[in-house]
Amino acid sequence: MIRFALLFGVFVAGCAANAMPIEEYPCPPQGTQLTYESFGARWLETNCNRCHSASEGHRSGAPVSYRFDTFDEVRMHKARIFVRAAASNTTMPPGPDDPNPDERDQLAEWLACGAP
Amino acid sequence: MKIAPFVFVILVAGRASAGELDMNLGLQATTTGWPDDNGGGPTLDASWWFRPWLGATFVGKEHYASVDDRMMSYFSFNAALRHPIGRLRLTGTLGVVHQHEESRAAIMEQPVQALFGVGDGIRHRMASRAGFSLGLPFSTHGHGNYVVALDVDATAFAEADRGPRWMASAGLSIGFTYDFGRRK
Repeated sequence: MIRFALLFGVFVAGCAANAMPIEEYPCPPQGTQLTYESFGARWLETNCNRCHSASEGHRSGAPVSYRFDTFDEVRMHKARIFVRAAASNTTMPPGPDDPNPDERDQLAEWLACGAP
Repeated sequence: MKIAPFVFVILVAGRASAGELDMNLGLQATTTGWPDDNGGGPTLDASWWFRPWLGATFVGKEHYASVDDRMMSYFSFNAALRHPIGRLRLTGTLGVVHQHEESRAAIMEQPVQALFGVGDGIRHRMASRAGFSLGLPFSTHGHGNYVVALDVDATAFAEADRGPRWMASAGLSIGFTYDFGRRK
């Protein structure tokens, strides 16, 4: 019961927790030089795939429905990846050892341009 | 090994007497094993005393922590020992913990699932807990006292890949005792 009451309070007070969606981050007019091969795969490997590409039981709580093993899977989840990890969204990866703001901005640009 | 505190309580308590219920609500500050990971929030402590010195305690918390802008939902069952020191009552607790950790962004995306602990991104954790509380009765009612308490506890998690390895909290709480064997 206390969880319901307290989380409801967080819900009511939590409007400021809204993350920036991918639609609010414009792709530059000239497009992007970043590609899955030159940037995306390495970024995901460094920051995400220890959990999101691990086998079940070794994912440290990462939902099984969010796998980033292939280019198609990454593109399918690009809006969710953006909301969690790109630009000013910093709730992933978990913990204090985060990518720096420049790396997050690069991820934002790559995803906003369609994750080519 | 995790159930040792409960086995201890059951074996030592024997047949329950009328018993005493204690309920406290408080606010705590929290820090964790991650750098610059601080926060806090409300805490509920509910205890049943089989004997004046021996009880079982549930501790529930809903705390905020700064790293990843996340909430921590904390559920703990403990064995409890109590000892009077003059007007004060010193309580020690030892128990097990289940904790959910999830970012506020995840809660906002799936508020209903978050309430039931099944939202995407919730990290389920297990831990051991030790705590101390120093209570001061400041008023009486027909079946017990009103109490203000200083609470301190520490939690050690079983794994380090889902969050910080430890957390510690301290704060103040206020509540009441209700002795079912005490005549009005």
